[in-house]
Amino acid sequence: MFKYIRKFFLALNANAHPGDIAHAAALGLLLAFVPKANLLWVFLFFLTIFIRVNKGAFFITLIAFSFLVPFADVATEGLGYAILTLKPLGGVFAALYNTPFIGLTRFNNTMVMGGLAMGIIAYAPMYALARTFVTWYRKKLQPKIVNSKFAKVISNLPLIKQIIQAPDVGGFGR
Amino acid sequence: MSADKKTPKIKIAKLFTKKYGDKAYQKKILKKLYVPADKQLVESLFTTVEDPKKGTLHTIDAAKVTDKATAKRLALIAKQIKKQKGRFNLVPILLALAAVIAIVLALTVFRNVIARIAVTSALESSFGAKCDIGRIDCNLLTASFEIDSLEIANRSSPMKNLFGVEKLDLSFNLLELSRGKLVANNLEISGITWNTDRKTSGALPPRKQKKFDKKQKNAKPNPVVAAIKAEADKVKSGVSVGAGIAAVKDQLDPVKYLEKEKAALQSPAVVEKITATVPALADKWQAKNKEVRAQVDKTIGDGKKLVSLDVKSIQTVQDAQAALAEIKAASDSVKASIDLANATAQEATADAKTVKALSDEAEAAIKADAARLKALADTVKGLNLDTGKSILSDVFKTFIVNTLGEYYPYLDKGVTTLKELQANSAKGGKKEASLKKRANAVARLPGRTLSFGNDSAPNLLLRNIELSAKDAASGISGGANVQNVTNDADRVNKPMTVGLTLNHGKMQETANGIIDLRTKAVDTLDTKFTGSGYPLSLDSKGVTGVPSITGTISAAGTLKIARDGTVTIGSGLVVGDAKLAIDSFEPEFVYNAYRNVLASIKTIDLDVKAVIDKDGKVSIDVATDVDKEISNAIKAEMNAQIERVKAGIRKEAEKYIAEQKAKYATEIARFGDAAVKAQSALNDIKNYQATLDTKKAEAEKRIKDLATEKANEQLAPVTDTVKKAAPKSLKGLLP
Repeated sequence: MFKYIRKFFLALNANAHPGDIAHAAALGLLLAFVPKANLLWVFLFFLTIFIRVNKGAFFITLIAFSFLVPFADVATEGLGYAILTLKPLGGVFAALYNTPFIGLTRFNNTMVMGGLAMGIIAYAPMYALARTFVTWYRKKLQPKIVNSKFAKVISNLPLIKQIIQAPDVGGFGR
Repeated sequence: MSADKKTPKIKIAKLFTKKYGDKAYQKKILKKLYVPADKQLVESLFTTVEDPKKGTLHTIDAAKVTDKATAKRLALIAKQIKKQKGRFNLVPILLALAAVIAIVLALTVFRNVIARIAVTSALESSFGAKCDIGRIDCNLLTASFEIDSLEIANRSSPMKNLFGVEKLDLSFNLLELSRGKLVANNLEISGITWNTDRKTSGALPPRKQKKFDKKQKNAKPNPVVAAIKAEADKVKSGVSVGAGIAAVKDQLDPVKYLEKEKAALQSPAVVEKITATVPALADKWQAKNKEVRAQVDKTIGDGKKLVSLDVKSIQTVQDAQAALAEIKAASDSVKASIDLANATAQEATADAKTVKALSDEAEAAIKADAARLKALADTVKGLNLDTGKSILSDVFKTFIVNTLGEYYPYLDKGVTTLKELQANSAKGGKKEASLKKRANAVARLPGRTLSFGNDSAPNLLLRNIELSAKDAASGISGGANVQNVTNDADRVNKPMTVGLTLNHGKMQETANGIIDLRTKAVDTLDTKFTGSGYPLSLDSKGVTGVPSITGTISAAGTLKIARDGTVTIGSGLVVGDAKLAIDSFEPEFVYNAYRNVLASIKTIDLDVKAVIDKDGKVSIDVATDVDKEISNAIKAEMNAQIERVKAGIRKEAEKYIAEQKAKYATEIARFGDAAVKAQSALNDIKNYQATLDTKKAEAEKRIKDLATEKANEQLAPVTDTVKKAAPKSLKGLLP
């Protein structure tokens, strides 16, 4: 867990592409929406692993949103049902349904389809939000934090020290 | 120069020492700096140089990097810039692809090894004995699964196989399998064998065996099976005609008839009254008589001399006077004895009246009882044989309960397994109802799984299962066809059908029916079955009146399991080539009749109805006409014995009456004897008194006579003198 937190803070305070963090957060949310134990989730997970995004941000958002998305399950389920019963897509779904091994994705489950749709819908806003936050943080918050006495006190705390002990941490440690 | 020497050499990151044109500077340096402070630093350190060929170029001004910290920071920034590459990480993707290919290859190459391990493990866990597989082939491309030479060892006899399968061929639907469903159009299992010999022991290694035993130990006992066992024990203990035979004996025993009648007879009470009172009276009077007799005898003895006295032989007046005096004295003493004897005789007469009244009462009672017992014999019109009339039914009931106890657990296990499959399937449907409720929980909702197209199938569907068995060693051959085995009968909307034919030796079984696990089904199972050629051997185990039966049994009936779990079995059973043997018992004529009837029976037809309700209560009814036949034959034989029984009753009645008479007559006679003796004593003493009175009269007369004689003698010489003196003399002589 510390590894992911550390990686996230490293990226946040370094010259990492804001998209790395923003994509990671959006993918974390997407995977949090999609129920596990199906091939679709596994596929998306490995896709995320192989995409150059910030893994720390990804895992933090995935874990954090996993606790929150169940509260949207009714809406997710309803959306999934609405999509799966869309007449124009009936042929596509039937073709997918009758393709061997596609069934393992459980795309025909309302929660899986709804979760995927919710994740996709939330992807862009999440990306934009995360990216805006990173840019704002680096521009406004980071200099203030780095120069504040509070930050210096905090940075001397053992836990924080453990997180920022790496020499390449952006503004911290300088 | 000296200043240059003093300044330490600072190494700047190569990225920044290069010279960039305007565009390159923007693209490769500035646009890759996302931390404003870093961007500001880099921009402040960069400067422009003029190149004759390339024009204005951007590069770092080394002079501005005056300390190592700045150089270090630049190196860090350069490192971060270098890290910024494309979104896709090609190397890991290639590695992952390679891993996937490796896994797929491994699965392809080792699929059969994996399948063998999975099947062996599952079967060993289920049967608790070794599972051997000759060849196994799981082919996804052809969507087939084959097993050759499958053998499951018998746990209780490790050197034998429980069963074996020569070939198992499953053609499954790959599409459905990819959806996590097992849908097969055809499952063929051929060459099924039983109880074949093994070359190696089929016992599991101790560790696996322990695991299996633990699993078995944790298994909950089936309450219905326990109920059937209890019923079997109950029926076993109840199958006896011993009580029935005893009842028959009772009906043939005249003494038993009298015993039953005794309560209504009058004589026993009267006899009891007599025996309670008369002996005491008799004893009393015997003692009293003894006393009276002694006194009478003494009195008579004392007067014996007087009785024998010959008064005429007395020659003198004086002697006569003396004799008279003795007689008077004896007469006085007799009076006391007479009074005693008289009083005793009078008292005895009073008691004798009481005794006579009792005697009369007893005679009347005896007369009435004799008449009643005579009528009792006439009431015996026929003999009753209610008990033991369902003897064969009971014997077969035991047999059926035992058979149920043996085979019901398998039926129950099978139906329970199928029901559990359905229950699991139904659970999915039930979850939909709690969507909203569960939305408040952290756990995710299961959602609804929709199907597209007509090929939608439940998680398990075996459309057609063909089973065939041919075992030369055991002579077993047969086949079965099972259709629509599923875990979601509602979705398939068809009942499971079962057709079975099995031959082994002379035995043959068929079963045709449906297993309907749909929600709205009335009966879960409805099967017609037949079976024939089973050798039957039921041993009576020495129970009185229970026949040992051998023969060949055939059955034809129906088996139904209602939705609530009530099992109903209705079947006709026929025992052909029946031989019924029985051990001898008393009374012999019943045994003979019974044996003859049993010997004449060659076929036994039975109607069986067994119901096991949802709570496990077992009710079994077995009816056969043969029982009635046996009962009637025995009744006829018994009725032929009626006259003998009647005569016996009369004889016993007479004997009883005689006994009763004898009981009181003795006492009455004893008392009568005492009474007679009392009277006899009185008579004797009275006779004695009379004798004494006679003697007295004789003595007085003799005195008179002697006196007269003496006077005449004296008067003759002296007539005158006597005539003169006579009055004076006589006056002095006569008292």
